[in-house]
Amino acid sequence: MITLCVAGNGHAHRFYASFTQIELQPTKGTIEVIHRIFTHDIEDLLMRYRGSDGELSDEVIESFLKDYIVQAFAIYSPDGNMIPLNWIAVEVTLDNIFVYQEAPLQEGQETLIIADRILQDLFDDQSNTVNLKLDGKVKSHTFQKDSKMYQISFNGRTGDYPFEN
Amino acid sequence: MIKLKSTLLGLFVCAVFSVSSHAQTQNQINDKFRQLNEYLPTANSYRTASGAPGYAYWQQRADYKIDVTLDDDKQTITGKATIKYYNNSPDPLKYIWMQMDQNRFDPKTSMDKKSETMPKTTKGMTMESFRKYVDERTFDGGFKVTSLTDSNGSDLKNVVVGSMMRIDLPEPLAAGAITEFNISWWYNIPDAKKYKLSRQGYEFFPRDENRIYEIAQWYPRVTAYSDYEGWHNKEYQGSGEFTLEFGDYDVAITAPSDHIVAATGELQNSADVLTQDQRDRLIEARTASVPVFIVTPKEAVENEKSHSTQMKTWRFKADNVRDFAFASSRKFIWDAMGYYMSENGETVMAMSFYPMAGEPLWSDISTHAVRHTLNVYNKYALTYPYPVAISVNGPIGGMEYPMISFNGARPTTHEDGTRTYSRRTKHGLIGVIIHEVGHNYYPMIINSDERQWTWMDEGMNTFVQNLAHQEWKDDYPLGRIDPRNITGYMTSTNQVPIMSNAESVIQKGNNAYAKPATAFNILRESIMGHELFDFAFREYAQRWKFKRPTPADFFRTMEDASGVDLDWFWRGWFYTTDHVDISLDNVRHFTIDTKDPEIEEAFKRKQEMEKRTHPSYFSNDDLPKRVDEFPGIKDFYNDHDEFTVTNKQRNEYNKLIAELEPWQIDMLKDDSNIYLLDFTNIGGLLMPLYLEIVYTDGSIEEKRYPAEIWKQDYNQVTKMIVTDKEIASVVLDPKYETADTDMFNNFFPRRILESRFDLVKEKANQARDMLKENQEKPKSLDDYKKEKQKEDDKNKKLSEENFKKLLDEYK
Repeated sequence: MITLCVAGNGHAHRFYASFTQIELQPTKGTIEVIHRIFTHDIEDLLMRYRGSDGELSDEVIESFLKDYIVQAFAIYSPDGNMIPLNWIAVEVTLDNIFVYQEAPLQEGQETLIIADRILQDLFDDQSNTVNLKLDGKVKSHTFQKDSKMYQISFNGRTGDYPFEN
Repeated sequence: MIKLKSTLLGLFVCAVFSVSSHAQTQNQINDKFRQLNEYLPTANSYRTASGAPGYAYWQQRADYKIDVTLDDDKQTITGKATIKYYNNSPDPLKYIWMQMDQNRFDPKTSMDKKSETMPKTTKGMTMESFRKYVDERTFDGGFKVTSLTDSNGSDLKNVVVGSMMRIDLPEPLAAGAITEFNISWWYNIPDAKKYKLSRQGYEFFPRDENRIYEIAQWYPRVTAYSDYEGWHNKEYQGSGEFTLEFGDYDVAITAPSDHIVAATGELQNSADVLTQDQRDRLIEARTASVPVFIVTPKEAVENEKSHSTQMKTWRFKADNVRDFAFASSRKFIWDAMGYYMSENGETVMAMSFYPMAGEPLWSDISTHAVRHTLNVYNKYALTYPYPVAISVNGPIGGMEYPMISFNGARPTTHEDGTRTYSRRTKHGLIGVIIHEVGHNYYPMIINSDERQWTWMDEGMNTFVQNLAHQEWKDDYPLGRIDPRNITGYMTSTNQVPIMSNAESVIQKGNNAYAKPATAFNILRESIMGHELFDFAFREYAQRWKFKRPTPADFFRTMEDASGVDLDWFWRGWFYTTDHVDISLDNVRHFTIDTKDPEIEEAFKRKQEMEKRTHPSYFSNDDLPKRVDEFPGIKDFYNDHDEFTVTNKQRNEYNKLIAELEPWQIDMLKDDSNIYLLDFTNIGGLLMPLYLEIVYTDGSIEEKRYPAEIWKQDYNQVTKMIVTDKEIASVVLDPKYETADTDMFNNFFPRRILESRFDLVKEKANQARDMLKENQEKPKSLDDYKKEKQKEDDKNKKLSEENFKKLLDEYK
């Protein structure tokens, strides 16, 4: 049985940062989402939600993240409808946890509204950078605590959402 | 001039081929290969243009003699120091600036607190965050200076500016002169866990009411004064670390008599503070091949209980260090093992201090990891010059000081008192210890300015740390230095260059650790090779040990010692936020135009025939033809197609051959295949071209072209390959060496690429076998409860046995 640590800080320095890559794949007809989060931050988060006791196996981390990521990260169409993301997998490595999600891509869709509050319930300094990629073009945004939602578009307006005018 | 003929169908090109590509004037204003002169400071007598310290190089020095008392009841530090300041600069100094870094925790003056911002859109914060906010502003932190006098005992005038203090000297301190002054102070030690501190503080253990103190930034330190910045006046805001001067330290630490103290430097009075047994064990440890307990777990558990009110004084001396830190607790187990360095015949004591909570992991791993670090870093940088190297477990996750580091990872303690740990924790601990002990080299000895440049210590150290991982075991994951892992960050439009101030870096983990470490890895593995890189990287360490290098000194030394012009690399990787994306657009096939009409006209005929693919060229073949019915209308042209060679052509050819030299005739007869490979630089960051060519006969060839291939056109280059074989396919950067962010355009012909996403998806799909899942026998809730009970009992028994075993081992 794999058992797990948490007490104490496992990592050299805390970065308070996650990184999310969203790729619009018109040829596959999919939206692919990969979150990269520091393993130790997730261990901290689990400690907080589950209490200090217990063992953090990869399975425990995955089942927790399944619930957590849905609350902390979402994408929407420009019409304001949430695009449900299918859960693909979680990869736990020493430094990073990778979370994979996927949704169908509507034809011609080049705009997403993004909400990203990953770990911002735990760390006030948490900043989450999102890359949206389409045909080799990339647009990025960094979410701070209490940031608004953000619209990224390759054929329209990019900025804090809802727009002020 | 040799003419090439395209072998591509439908493209009958007689390309005129010239080897040089076209220089594009609009690119000149962005010359990516020009030297970095306008970015780097002009060389002078202090710092040479080769990157070495100049003949007139100087740096200041400060020696400290300190008496310090740790009050465990009130959690305070009270100190009294005599500081001897050497003005080695050519300048007279009217005042001396001091760093009062503990003032970061003084809510009244802290720039860290005052410069805190909230996002415009803030709607609220968590209770916990708000409590931290309030606590930080009520905690009575910061230095309280109780006296400041010159060597005659007269008060010195001073002004406190946030985390800095100016001491006005009665007389200017002349160049080459020395002054001495005395300072007394005290401060409240912050609770590291409560304030989530990452550099110093204490941890409270409620079960036995003990604390582990990890004490740093605990005395007023002389601010650095340098040839390039004068006084390094930059407030301590928490993120940018330290800029310090070297000096000798003589420190007497008074702590409760049942505490064990670990510190920068060598213990001077072991007879006063250690038992005879402990001193014997220290001698034994010096030549031991495995760590030896100096304070055993059993003794540590006894110490925890005593809560003595007596005090004891530990004296430490440390020569030529830039800082001093220490740790103190009743809870410490202490183990040690000597490391004999064949380089200089000295023995370093590798030591670890940790509470029982660190077991069973710490006694197995920590001291080994310390020793391993010295072994590897000695190779890549310099021979470790200090007598001890220490790893301490306490509240701080990972923080470095000269000779001593604080490392946080420890096993999980369960309710029944047993402790377990995962593979991740174990690797995490090995990694963090190597990293923090490795900081002894960068920046404790190679004394870069951390408050300005995070990458100079963190980037270089992360790089060598990963080399050390590779020497720990075979399959240690590459992690932060694998070029593939940095590509996502590098395409982000929300970045700052590596050459940004430490406080202004965003995404610090990627910017100041992973990206520079990856850059060094690419230089070593791909661009320079091990031999050139290792020599230059070590030369940098040798030149700047116990001195203060700047980024320019590093950039210049790497070129100076390797002979490789790297300005283009520094410019792209360190001064811009460009990323690598090079596309292999096309592979065009040509052969040489022999000029011989017999060969060339036949070639043209073949090309023309191959063009005739449409069905109507063939479907009417069976129909009767008019020229067959009336043969009289046939003439020369019916029997000879347009590719028939005429006598005129033959004569022209013979005339040409008669005029050519024999070598020129040989060239025309060359039947090599000529390929033109077209590359486009989409990302902007220039990198070499590494190609894997697969030929139709199945053989594979690797070709490596330097980044200078882009020297005249940064956007597009064409490379010619001449071969007697035929190419089947070409891959650009097949080993993922260059951090190319989009691999799809690296293949000719294009191939469907499995992305990280696809690979994981496939794995995830495989992992789930629904048929098999359905074949499982259904179980009731009771079955599960019974199983769980059984499992729990088993685990409980197992943990109890393990714990007993562990205790027995220590007896």
